[in-house]
Amino acid sequence: MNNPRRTPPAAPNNPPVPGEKTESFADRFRDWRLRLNMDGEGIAKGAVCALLIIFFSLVQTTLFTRFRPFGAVPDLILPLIIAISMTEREKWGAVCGLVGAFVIESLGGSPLTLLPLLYMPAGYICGLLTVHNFRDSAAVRALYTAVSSVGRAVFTLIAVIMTVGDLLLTDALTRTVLPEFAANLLFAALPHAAAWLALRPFNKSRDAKVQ
Amino acid sequence: MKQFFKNKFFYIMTVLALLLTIVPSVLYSMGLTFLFRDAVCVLLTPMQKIFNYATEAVDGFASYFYKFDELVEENIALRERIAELEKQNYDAAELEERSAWMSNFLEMKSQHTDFKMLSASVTGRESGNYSKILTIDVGTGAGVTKNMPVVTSEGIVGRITELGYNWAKVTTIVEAQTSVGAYIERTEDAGICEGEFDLAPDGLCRMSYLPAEAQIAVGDRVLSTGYGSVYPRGLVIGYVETVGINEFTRSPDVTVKCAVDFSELTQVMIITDYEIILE
Repeated sequence: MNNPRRTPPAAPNNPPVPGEKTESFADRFRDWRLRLNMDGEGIAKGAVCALLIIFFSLVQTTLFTRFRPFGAVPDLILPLIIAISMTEREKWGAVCGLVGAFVIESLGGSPLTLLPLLYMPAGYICGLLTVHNFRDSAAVRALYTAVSSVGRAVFTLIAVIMTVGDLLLTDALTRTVLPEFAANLLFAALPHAAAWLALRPFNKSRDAKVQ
Repeated sequence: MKQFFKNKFFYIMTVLALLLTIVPSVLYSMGLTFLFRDAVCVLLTPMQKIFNYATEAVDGFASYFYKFDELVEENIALRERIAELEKQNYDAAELEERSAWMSNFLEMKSQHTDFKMLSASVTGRESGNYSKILTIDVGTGAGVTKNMPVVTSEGIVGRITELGYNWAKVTTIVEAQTSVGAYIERTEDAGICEGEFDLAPDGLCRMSYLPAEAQIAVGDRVLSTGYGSVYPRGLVIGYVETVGINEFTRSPDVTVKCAVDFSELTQVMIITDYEIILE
């Protein structure tokens, strides 16, 4: 199994061949960088994404814990991650997924932390699918949101079972999972619209650079 | 998509996601707070407080639309009340209303002279849809520690289960897998009030382990026994809502309506110190 980027280690007593480039530890370490493009525009984009995550986390934990559509708090962060991922591709989606999951778990007060395992892959996969398979459109966004909401429902069910223990599946579904699923679908358009508006200037400047 | 599993970025992010899942959960089960979680809460709790104020304002405005029928009924009741109160001075009535919150606590304080209390505002509620946990705006900076009881003038809210410098999480007594030592005030029959998943949304908990011969009636007041070293003796838990018979143990199966309305809670008091009295 030849790896073209790594040279085989030199024999102990053999000096390196003149002109041959050996790979240092620093080179190898650098190879593991996340390679997020963090120029001025990248930093501004990161700040906008962070603000969006904080804003929707606060809205979710204050406004929607009071007005509970269908008796459940809608998840606004997951559609936000999908929106960011579809606009900014998989790496931004995965990073924002991790950050978003951690912020909402910290503010939301749930004893069990599971959401990073949902948000990060959701952001990453949606970004990849947008690059390789389906172009960004309202229908595709709706499809991704619906599929990810099913994932969220599964995670909520796991969290309920792990937290509450002895529980009827029908109780968990009717009291928590299904109302949450319906609320998620109902309010998913909000974060999508906010992300689209907030990240639009960066897309315009990117399009201008490409042209 | 073939590169999906060969991507180092994905591996790194997966490891980070696993760490962010496992570490906070393990620390929580050990009774510790994850450092980054604490940092997020310290930074965002003040903002959460502002959002909560805004939400209350929006709620007040929106209630004109979605609580129309309720408001009409309330309006009729208020008109009747106004007629009754015509002779009273309006300003005095308003002042009385404003001070009602604090005077209730003073009354409580006069009944329990050993209590040292600290007021706090509710800044957020749980968003996971399966637990009743509140976030309040005081923490270790104000001398709050874990397991301190949280009350209102109506009764017990819960206890502090997690905290940082300027925030704390309160697990309410209706939360599943929590329990409070309780007794019926009228008959002095003791049992345990336990939170249950299906009762929690209605603000109910179940009182178990009551003696088989206990004569319990709907409306009986339920108080804390003081056993368990968390809640002081004599605090109101709630009122008996239904009384049945447990088909296995033949002992009374009682549901208790909590005295506190958790959905409307905005101000609470933390009992920071009290004398332990067990009778």
